Amino acid sequence: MHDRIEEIRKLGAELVAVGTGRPEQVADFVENQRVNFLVLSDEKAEAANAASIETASIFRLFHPHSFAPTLHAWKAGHRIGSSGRRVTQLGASFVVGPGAKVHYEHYDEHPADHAPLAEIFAALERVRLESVGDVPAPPA
Amino acid sequence: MDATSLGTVTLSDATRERKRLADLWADRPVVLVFLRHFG
Repeated sequence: MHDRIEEIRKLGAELVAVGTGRPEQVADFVENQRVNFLVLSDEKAEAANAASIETASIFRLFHPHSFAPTLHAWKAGHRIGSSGRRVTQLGASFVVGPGAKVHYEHYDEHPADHAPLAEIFAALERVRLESVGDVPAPPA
Repeated sequence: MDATSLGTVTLSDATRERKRLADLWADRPVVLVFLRHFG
């Protein structure tokens, strides 16, 4: 998603990542990966708990549905970087704001599950249209 | 997801500066991603 940051910003939004590691790990990640968006340390799981992010059992960590996407990512050259403090915590993606309004939410079912980017961008577009008063009519 | 509750949480960034989550999305939408690992 970080390679789509400019598209996110063109829609008037910002990308914020929340990791399970210490601030030092966040600093290393930001520097080594040349990250140009905000990355936060949720070392004590305060945000994860408030967002009801699940932790996975061993079965879910190695869910069969994750095998093919994991292999695909591996073949594409993607490698897992530094793990945070809670390796069993699953991921999630939200579109929030302006204000405390949630426009989109996706809770990862297993480690290889990620929110479809098309859905995230569709939510951002809806927010943008709402902000200019051009809200599409609801489906019949 | 309860964004009001989540918004009260304050986290540290890479420079250890504290950020209150509600402030991040007060004026603009935010794509908030919870990561399992860095990279």
